[in-house]
Amino acid sequence: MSRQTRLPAAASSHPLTTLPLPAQLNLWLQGSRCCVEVGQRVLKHQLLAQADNEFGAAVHAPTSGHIRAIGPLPQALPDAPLRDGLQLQPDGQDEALPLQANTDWPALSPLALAIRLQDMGVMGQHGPLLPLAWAAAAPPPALLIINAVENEPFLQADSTLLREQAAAVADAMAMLGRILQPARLVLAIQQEQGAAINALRSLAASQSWQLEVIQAPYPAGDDAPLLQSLARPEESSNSLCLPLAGVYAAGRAILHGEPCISRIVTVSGAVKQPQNILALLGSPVADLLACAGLPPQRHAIVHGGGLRGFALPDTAIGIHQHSHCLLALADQAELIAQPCVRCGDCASICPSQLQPQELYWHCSQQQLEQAQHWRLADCSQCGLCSAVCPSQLPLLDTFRQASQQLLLAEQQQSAADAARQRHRFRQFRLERDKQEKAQRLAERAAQQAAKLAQQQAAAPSSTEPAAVVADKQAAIAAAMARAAERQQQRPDTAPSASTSERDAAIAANRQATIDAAMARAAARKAAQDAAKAAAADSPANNSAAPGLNQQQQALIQAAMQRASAQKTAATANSPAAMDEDKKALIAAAMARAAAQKAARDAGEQEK
Amino acid sequence: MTLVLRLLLLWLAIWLLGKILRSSALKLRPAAASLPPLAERIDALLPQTQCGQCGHAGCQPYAQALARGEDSINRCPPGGEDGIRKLAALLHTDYLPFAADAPPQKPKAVALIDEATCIGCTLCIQACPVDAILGSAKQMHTVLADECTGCELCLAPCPVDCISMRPATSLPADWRWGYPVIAIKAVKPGTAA
Repeated sequence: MSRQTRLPAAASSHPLTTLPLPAQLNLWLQGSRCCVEVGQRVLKHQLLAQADNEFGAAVHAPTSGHIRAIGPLPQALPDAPLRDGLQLQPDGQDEALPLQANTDWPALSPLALAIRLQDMGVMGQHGPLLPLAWAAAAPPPALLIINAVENEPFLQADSTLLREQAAAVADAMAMLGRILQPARLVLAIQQEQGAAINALRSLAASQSWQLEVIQAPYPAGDDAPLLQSLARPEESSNSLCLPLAGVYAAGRAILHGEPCISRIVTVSGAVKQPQNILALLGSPVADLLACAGLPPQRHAIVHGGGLRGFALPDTAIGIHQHSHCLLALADQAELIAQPCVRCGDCASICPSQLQPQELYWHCSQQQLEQAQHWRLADCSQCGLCSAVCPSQLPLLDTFRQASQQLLLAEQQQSAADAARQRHRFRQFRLERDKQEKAQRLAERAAQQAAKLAQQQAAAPSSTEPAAVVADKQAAIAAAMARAAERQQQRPDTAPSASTSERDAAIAANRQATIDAAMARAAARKAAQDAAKAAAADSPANNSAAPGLNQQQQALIQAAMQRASAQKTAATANSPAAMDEDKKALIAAAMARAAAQKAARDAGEQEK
Repeated sequence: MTLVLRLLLLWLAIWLLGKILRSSALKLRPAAASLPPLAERIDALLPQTQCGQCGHAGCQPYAQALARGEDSINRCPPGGEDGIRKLAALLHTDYLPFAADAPPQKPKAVALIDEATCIGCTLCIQACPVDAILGSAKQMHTVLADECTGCELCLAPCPVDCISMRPATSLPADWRWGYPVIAIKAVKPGTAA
């Protein structure tokens, strides 16, 4: 319904009236959690819901009555989606809790002020009047703008507020100026709001704020263009723009302790008496329209200004803090969108210098990338293109939908990126845990092996180190192998020897074997004795071990020497097993040869 | 003489042009080479629910299979048809409708643990691909709704069936403008203006 083309002829200011108490209030719990129960009686100003998140605000009872329902209710939003709401049935007594004015307000920090405003249910454009994140960072703003500009058709709520409550607004601005300490405090107002300007001029002279009169046409009153036009270059990055209704409510909340329970709504259009109505939050739209006198014809009920408003499907919906205007528009004949005729009116009126007809084409084809290329992000959604379009194309609605799709896509992308990061970190963590476990197991196995070796070392079989034992055993084995070899090779090595000679050799060999066995037995006995002594004495007897080892080694050496000497006597040429033995073997062979020769000579002499 | 000079100048100009073109080509080529690998670019398009509905162990293995040409682009239900279009555009293939054996698409949901029923077995914690479940042995578990991708992998291991999928919460920030449609109004005789 944003394609309304009939604009008001003259901005004649309507009177302010107060809405009689409605039969039912439908409150929107915007980002807040209910703290009352169904059936409970509540008093005026009683807290009904507490802010649930950073962007929510508390809700207070606008009047005394009973809670009838808590749950999803249609809200004054496009298409009236179901949102958490609360139905309050007034009892007509309007019994109020006593208001507690805060006298300590000059000592508040910006963050404390923001939190108190949230608790008092004072809303700005998006969430609490002062964004909590901004207040927590809280640099004193270089420029604080109170936005009272109303240049969208039909809007008069802010002008009425200024006209009726100029002193209260001035107090609220002084309060904000004192706590937030802006370098410059400006009240922006439109040239056409004459009565309000007159009411303010006398006040502004004695106050610390300036009055800026804007002459540029719609949409110069939006926050972004206003900041652009009013902020000096050095101020542009550190400025804040607050809506007038919120500032007034903040003044009531901080200076008088009164939570935000009502607001001024302009009711205009095809009603009998267009007027500004001071209505409690949650008042049904139907009541406001009836107050202004709705003719019996069928009407489209538009929530919002003449360019940005949207149609409400139902008039039982309650108003909320952002409801500044209600329009009853006589249902025009069928509004049928015709094809674009490329007249270019939208492009020439667009304040952001876009090409709405191109944008519309891409948005309606769901080609969001192309729409981005045509700078959809720069669209301020002012609705002028829809208003001038001769084909009555739903340009504004299309751009709103496409912009939100873009936003949604961005959010999805960032969520996907976060999920990817978390998943990869999980994989990394699992891998790291596996490696750490393997390392732990290896360390434990090594520790157990070391413990086992220690136990073996402490056992009686050997006091000497394992290497020495191995050496000894190897030497013994080698000696035995050599002996066996010698026994086998003997018949081959001395085939020509006589029987007596062989007998003598066998006897000598046997003697050598016995000697070696005795040496081994002696060595073993000595080792056992030493171990027994070590076990009997104490573990402190370790110094004896090397000595014993040496003794054993000496015994083994002796046995080996004996064996080799015996080998010298017995065999001719045994193959060299080890390199270091080679020289000894050669010497032994030479000795054997000499001995054999001597024996042969002796044999010949005997013959 | 002038002819020779002209030819020389022409040759010089051609040589200079060649040099410039060559250097610019060399400069531009690394830009193409510095693109991330194909599997990474495919992975960037996938919705990262890590749900395994494509038959792979996660989004990255599916992306790698796609990059090798071993799987088709129509196997990712969370990505939706939009995801198939994006993959088709990246891989220079035709759009394919969803595979007949692919699981159906579902709206985004997050897991919710019934805290009264949970016995603290940690099986769901081990199943969660994005570590979105908190808890420890014999202690109550809970789902971090912001981190939950709605993969439903925690549903199967739960021995007491205390996990259910709930639609994502409806905050005012989640509200969307509808696609503009022109409402058809019933004309009642006698009420028309």
